[in-house]
Amino acid sequence: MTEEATQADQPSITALLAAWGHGDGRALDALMPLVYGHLRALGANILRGERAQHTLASAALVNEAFLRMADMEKISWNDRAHFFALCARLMRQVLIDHARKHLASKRGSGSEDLPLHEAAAEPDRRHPDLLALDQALRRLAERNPQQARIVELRYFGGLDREEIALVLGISSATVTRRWRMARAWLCSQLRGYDESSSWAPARR
Amino acid sequence: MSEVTSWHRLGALFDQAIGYEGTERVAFVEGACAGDPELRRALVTLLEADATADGFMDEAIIPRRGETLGEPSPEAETAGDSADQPSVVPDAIRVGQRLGPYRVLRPLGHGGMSAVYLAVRDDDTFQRRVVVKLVRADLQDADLERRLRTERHILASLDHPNIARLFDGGTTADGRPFFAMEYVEGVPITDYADQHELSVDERLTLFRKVLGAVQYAHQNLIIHRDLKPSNILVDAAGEPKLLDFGIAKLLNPDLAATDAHATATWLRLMTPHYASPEQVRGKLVGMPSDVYSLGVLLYELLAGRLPFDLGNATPGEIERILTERDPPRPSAAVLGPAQGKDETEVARQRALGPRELGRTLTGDLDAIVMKALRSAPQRRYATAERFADDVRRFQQCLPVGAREGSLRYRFGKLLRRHRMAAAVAASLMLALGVGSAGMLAKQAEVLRGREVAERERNQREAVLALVLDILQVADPNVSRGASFTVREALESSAPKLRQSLADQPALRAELLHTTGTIFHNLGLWSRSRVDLEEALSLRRALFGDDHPSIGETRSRLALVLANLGDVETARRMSTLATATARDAAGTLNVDALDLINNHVTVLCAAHDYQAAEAPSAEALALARRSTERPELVTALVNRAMVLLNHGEHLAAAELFQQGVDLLALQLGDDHPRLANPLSNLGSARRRAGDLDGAQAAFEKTLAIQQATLGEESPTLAITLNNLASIFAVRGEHTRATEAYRRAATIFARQSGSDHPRLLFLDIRIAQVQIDAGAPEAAIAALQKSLEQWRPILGEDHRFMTLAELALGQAWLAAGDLETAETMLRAAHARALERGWDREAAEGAEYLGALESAFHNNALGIPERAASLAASAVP
Repeated sequence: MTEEATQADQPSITALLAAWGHGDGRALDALMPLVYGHLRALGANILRGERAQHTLASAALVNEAFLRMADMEKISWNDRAHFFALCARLMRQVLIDHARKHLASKRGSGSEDLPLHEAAAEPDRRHPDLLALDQALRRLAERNPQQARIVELRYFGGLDREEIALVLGISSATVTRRWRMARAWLCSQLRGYDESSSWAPARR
Repeated sequence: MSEVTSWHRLGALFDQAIGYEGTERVAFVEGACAGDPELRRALVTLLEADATADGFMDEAIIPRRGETLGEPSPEAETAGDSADQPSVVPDAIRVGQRLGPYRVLRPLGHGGMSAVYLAVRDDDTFQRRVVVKLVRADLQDADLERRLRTERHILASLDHPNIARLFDGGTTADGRPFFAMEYVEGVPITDYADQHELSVDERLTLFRKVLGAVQYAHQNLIIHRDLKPSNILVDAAGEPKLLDFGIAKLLNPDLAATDAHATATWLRLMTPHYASPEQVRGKLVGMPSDVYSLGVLLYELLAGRLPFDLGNATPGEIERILTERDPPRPSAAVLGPAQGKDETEVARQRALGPRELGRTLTGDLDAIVMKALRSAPQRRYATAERFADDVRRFQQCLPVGAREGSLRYRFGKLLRRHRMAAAVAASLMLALGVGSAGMLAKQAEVLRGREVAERERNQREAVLALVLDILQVADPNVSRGASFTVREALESSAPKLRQSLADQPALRAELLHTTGTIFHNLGLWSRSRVDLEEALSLRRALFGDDHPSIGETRSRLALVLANLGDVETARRMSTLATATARDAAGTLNVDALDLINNHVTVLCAAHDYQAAEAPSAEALALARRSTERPELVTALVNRAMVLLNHGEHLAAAELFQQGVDLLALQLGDDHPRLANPLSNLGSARRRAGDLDGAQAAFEKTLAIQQATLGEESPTLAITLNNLASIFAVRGEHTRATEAYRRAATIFARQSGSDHPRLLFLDIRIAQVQIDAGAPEAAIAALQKSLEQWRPILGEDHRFMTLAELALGQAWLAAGDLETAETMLRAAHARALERGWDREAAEGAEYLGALESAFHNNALGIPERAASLAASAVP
C-alpha cells in the first residue's frame, strides 16, 4: 500500500479539487502536476515488467491509492466525475510516456512511430498495444473528438457510462452507441482488419 | 462529402446496422451503401470488427472498484472494511445503516455465503421492503463485480410468480457486492407441507409449481444450483417462491471443474444433502443438477426423510455415497424409522397410515423420484418440464411417460441469441422436425404404441442437441463475423454430423439431405454432393429404390451434379427421380412439381432444351393454377430458360421478369433468391439486344451474390462471365478480360481445374484478345488450350468445337485465310452434325466473315467465296 506517500498530499489535492469544482481555473493548474506525480508512481507499477501492463496484477493496490489521492467524501460526486476524467487524461499521458520510454530503451532510439502492423502482430484479445492505441486514438480524435474522449474516459479512467455522460454532457445511451462504434473502429485499426486504413483519412 | 459528414454518416449507418442480424444486416448494408463502395467497405469493416470485439477494451486499464459515482455513498464508516481484510463479520452492518440505496431494517439471518437483511428503499415512494443479501467479504474475488454486472440484468429479467424477483444489485462503498431481492414471508416448503398436513396429491401439486418455476428459469438458461427447502418458501396463500436463482453461480462460477479444496469449501458453504453427485465432484453443473436437487426435495416431501443419511460424512465420503449407491426407494423408506423420524408421524402428516403411504408411493412415484435421482445426469429427466409432466401424468392416472424435452427451450433461447444462425437452424429444424414427424407418423401407423413415441422423442432430442451444437459453433464470438457464420457453422459441424446418429440411419439421412441442400443453396457444391450422396445411399439401403424420399434426394443431387459439370450423371439421376412424379395415368402430380422443376433445370444444364420443352410448359401450367405455390417462380424461370434457348428472347425476358417481380414481392427486392432469375433476365435482355438492361440486371445480381455468398461462389463466377461478355461486346477489353479471369479463378478453385467451363472462359478471353487486335496472342493461347483439353474432353465436345471456331476466327483476324478456312469448315461441320445450334451459328458467322475477307482480299478468289457463302447458309 502506498498510503504514506498519498496521505501527505491528500489535503492539498482535496482543497484544489474543491476549488476547481467551484470554478477556480488556477486550481486546475496546481492540481495537474500533483495528480500527475501520483499517477506516474501508479504508472510505474502498472508498467513494471515486460507485459505487466496487460495483466495488472497489482490493479487492486493501484486502485486503492488512486482513490485515496483525494478525500472523496468531501467532494461532490459531480466533481468526482470530473476528477476521474482528469485522471483519465493524465493516466493516458503517464502510460504512454512509460510505454514510449520502454520502447525507446529497448530499441536504443527515440523513435515514436510504431507501425500499425507491428502492433497488430502481437494481438491481445482484450488490451491493445498502448502506443498503437494512442496513435489510433489521435486519428479517432481527428475524426470525432468526442468518441476519442469517451474511449479515454472509459479505458484510461475507468469511468462508467453514466459518469461519462455526466462529464461530456450527453445521454448515457449516446455514450453507449458512440463507444460501440469507437471500439469497433479501434478494433479494426489495431487488429489489422483494414491495414490500409485509407477510408476517411484524417484532416491535415 | 466532407470528412466530418462522412464519419457522421458512417456512425449513423453503424448504429442502424447493428440493429439487424444476419442476412437482414447484409441487406441493410447493401441498400444503405448502394453506389458507395468506399462507405460499404468502411461499414463492413466496422461491423466485422464489432462482431469480434467482445472483451476488447471492455476492462479499463486500471479497473476502479468500490466507488460508484452514480450512487451517493454516505456510509463512510464501512469504508474501513477493506477487501484486503480477512473475513469481515457480516453482522458488522447495523440497523439503520445504508447499503447502496437501501436502509437496513433488521438482520434476517445468515446464508452460507451472505448475511441477509430486511431493508427498505428510501427513495422508493412505495417504501418497498426488500431482502438485501450482503456477500461475505472473504468470498468475493476480483471478478465478482464484473460477473455481477453482466448477470444481474439476466437474473432481474426472471419474471415468474413463483420466483422471488431480483430487484437490484451493486457494491457497497467498500466493494462488497449485495443483492436486493423480493421479500418473501413464508416457511420452507417441507415445513409448510408438514404443518398443513398436505396429502400426497397436494404435495405433488405444490411441487409441480416449484418445477414450473425451475422450468421457467431453465428456459432462460439460468440454473439455480442450490435448490433446497430453505430456498423454497411457501407464503400464507400457499404459493411457493423460489429464492436466490442464479446467485450460486454468480458467487462461484468456477465451481465447474474446480479443485478438491474449493469443492470442499463449497460443500461447507452449501447444504450437501441437496447437491447432485456432479456438484459434489466439482464437475460442470447444468439443468440435470437442479433436477437432482428437486428429486431430493420430492423424496423428502413424499417420504419425510432425505434419500441418504449423510450425517457427518466428509466430502470424499459424500461423493462416494452419491455416486456409488442408490437410495432406498421412497416406498420402502417410509416403512422404517430413519433420520430421527417416526414412520407413523410421517404418514399422519400425509393423512395416511404408514402402509397406505408405502402403497401410494410404490410404482410410478418411486420410479419418478428414482429417475430424478440417478447419479448419471444424462439418465435423469432432461428438464424440469419433463419431470413435471410425469408428476402430472401420475396425478391424472396416466401412464408415466414424458413429452418433448428440455432442449427445445434452450434451443429457442439460443436462436434468439444468435439470429445469424437462425436461418440455418430453422431449415434444419423444419426439415428434421416436420420431416421426421412425417416419416415417423407413418411408422407409428404400423406399429403404434409407446415405443414409437419414445423413439420419436429420443430422435428429436438427438437432433435438437445437434442443432444446438451447431448454433453454439455459430456463435459470432467463436466464428469470425456475420457473413461467414452460416457457412462456417455448417462446415465445423460436419465431423459431428458424421459421428452422430450413427445408430439412427433414417434420421441421419434426413439431416444429411438437409445440410446437403443448404450447402447447395450456399453454392458449395462439392460439400453438398458429399452429404447428398451419403443421404441417398442411406435411404436406398433403408427404404429400397421407390420411396419418395429417395426421389427427393436424387433430384437435389442431380442439381448439384449438374452444377458440378457432371451433366450426364445428373440427367440419369433426375430422370430416375421424376419417375415418381406421375401417377399411373401419367398425370403430373402437383406435389412432385419440385422434382419436375429440378428435372427441367438439369435438362437445361445439359443444354437439352428439346427434351425440356414439354416438361417446362407442363410444369408452368400446373404451377400457375396456384399462385401461392413457391414452385411457381421456379417453373416460370425454367420455362423462360427453355424459351431463351429456343431463341424466343423477348418472351423469355418477360417470364424472367415475372419471376423476379414475384420473388421481390414475396421476399424483398434484394433477397438472395433473386440472384438467379435476375441473372437470367440479364441473359435474355442481352440476347434481345438490350445491353444496358442486361448490364443492370447482371450488376444487381453480382451485388446480391457478393453480399450473400462471399467472393468464392461459382454462381458469382457465372455472373462475372456474363458481365464480361457485355464488356466484350462493348469493346471494353480490359474489364472483360479481368472479369473472365476472376470467374476462371473461382471455377478452378471450386470445381477443380478440369471443369469444361474453364475451357469456355479460355476461349472467351482469347476472343477478347482478337477483338483487342492481338490475334497472335489469341492463336497461341487457343492452341495451348486445345492441346491441354483434348486429353480431358476428347474431340467430341462442344467447347472443343467452340475453341476450334475461335482459333479459326483468330487466324482470320491474323490474315491467314487459308488456315482459317480449314479450321472453320471442320468445326462448323461438326457443330452441324452434332446439332450444337449455338456453335453452328457462331461457325456460320465466322464463315460469313471469312467470305467477306476473301471478297475484300486484293487477290480475290471468287469461287471459294461462293462456296463459303453456300456453306454458311444454314
